[in-house]
Amino acid sequence: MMKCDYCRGSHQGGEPKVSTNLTSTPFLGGHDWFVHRSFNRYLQYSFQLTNPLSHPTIYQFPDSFQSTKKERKQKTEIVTIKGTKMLPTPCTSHVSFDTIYEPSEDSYLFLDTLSSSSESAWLTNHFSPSTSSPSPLLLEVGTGSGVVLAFLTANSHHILGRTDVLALGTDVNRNACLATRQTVLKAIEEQQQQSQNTQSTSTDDSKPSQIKSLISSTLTSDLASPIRPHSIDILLFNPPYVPTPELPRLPSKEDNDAGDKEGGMSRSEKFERESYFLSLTYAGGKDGMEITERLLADIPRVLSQRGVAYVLLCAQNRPREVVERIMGWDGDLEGGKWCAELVGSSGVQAGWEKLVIVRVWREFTSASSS
Amino acid sequence: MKLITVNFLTCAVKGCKTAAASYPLHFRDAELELQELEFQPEFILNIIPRIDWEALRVMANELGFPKIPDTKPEGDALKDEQLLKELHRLLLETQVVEGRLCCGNCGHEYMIKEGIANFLLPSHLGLIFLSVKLVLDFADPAQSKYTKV
Repeated sequence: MMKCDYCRGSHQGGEPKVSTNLTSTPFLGGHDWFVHRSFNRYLQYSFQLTNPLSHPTIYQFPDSFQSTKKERKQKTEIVTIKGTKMLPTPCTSHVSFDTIYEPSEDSYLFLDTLSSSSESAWLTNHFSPSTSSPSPLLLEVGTGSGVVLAFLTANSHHILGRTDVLALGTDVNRNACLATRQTVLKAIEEQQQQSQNTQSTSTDDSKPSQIKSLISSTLTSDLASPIRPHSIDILLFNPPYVPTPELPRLPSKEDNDAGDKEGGMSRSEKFERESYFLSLTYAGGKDGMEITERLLADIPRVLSQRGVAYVLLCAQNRPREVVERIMGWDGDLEGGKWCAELVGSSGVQAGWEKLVIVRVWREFTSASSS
Repeated sequence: MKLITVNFLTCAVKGCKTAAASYPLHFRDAELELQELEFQPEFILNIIPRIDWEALRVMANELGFPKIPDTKPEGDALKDEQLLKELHRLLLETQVVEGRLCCGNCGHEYMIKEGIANFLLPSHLGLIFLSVKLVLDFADPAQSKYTKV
């Protein structure tokens, strides 16, 4: 067992090699997920290796996979493909991915799931009753670049049937908080411009949906720890889900402030710092579930009565067991019953990738109980 | 950070969660900035129902905004456009750029820098919770609260 230069975990050493044949390469511990989650980062690193005792295998994405990712990235306006409306992907060109997770397949699965016709219909039904209801408060935990939060906020009319969403975001990385704020503001602005353009060119009288949704704030915090009880209507979480031998510590004020004086750092100090922050984006500890478990435990506290949470899981997190467990949670005093359902899946792409999104909410049987 | 945010926040220290004095958090040395937004009466009307009015009054008083009604406006009071405009300005247009947010229970102060508040706790406050939880989980998984009964 050697201490790994990159993730600081211990695992069996071996010559790093690039594998293009995904189906014939056995999974090695949890590190296949690790390599997946920070693939670009790792390739870059492999050139700097002086000691080949690091991750045993580097996977290369099959071409088909890359192109779907590219297609998603290039969606800058609403287009219709095979009868399905594709909402634009928020622009993240201003984000430096040195310490922030770059939007990848998991992020895009979130976008596609939320904007799928079935999920949008469910959410619209849930949040747009016939009588007026308060503005939904949206919280994304661990926003990274902010692409998911920006997508839902800017497209709230299409997904929730509402234009009055208030968005909040948290991340342990201060840089991610700064980036997220900008991503959301940009996405809202783009959306407003587009709806104005539609207004000026459209000939009919129907009033286009003018987005009013706002970002309230982004906060540097551990999960949802500073959030007031029962305040969140929609919670989104794309966790660090990779099984790892240990968890990185939470960043201190000094870790976060060091970003301001990056110029004074040596190359290795800078690399060390970036690796540490990236490890926070993927390292999930035992079964890749240690962080997710803490967030799940906090869901009954933060969600409002009508609140809904979306949590992404990978196959190694054993999503079906998670769903079973949530359905066994004790109901609350108001008689709500906890429900959980798998609502999005990446499918078995290239024979090795399986991500799912779980929706968690409370169901009330008020009418039938009388 | 828009001022409305404070209405949704509480102290991040585990032991403060049940203490009434931990909500709302109190501003110290807040540096405010006005960022104008188009006035949208429907938006502010949908926001008012979800505001904790007492917490809003405490904050407004502490920051020196005097004109907040004693009780949450309802019914005809919501037709007062002047009032809606003032609330719009206070909740959505006013941003906190620098300063601190302080817990009335434990006294911990959270720094705000460039409009982003830092709620990460120094290790002596945060780790207590973490280590206790991990010990419990590993000691007796059968006692985990997620276990189906």
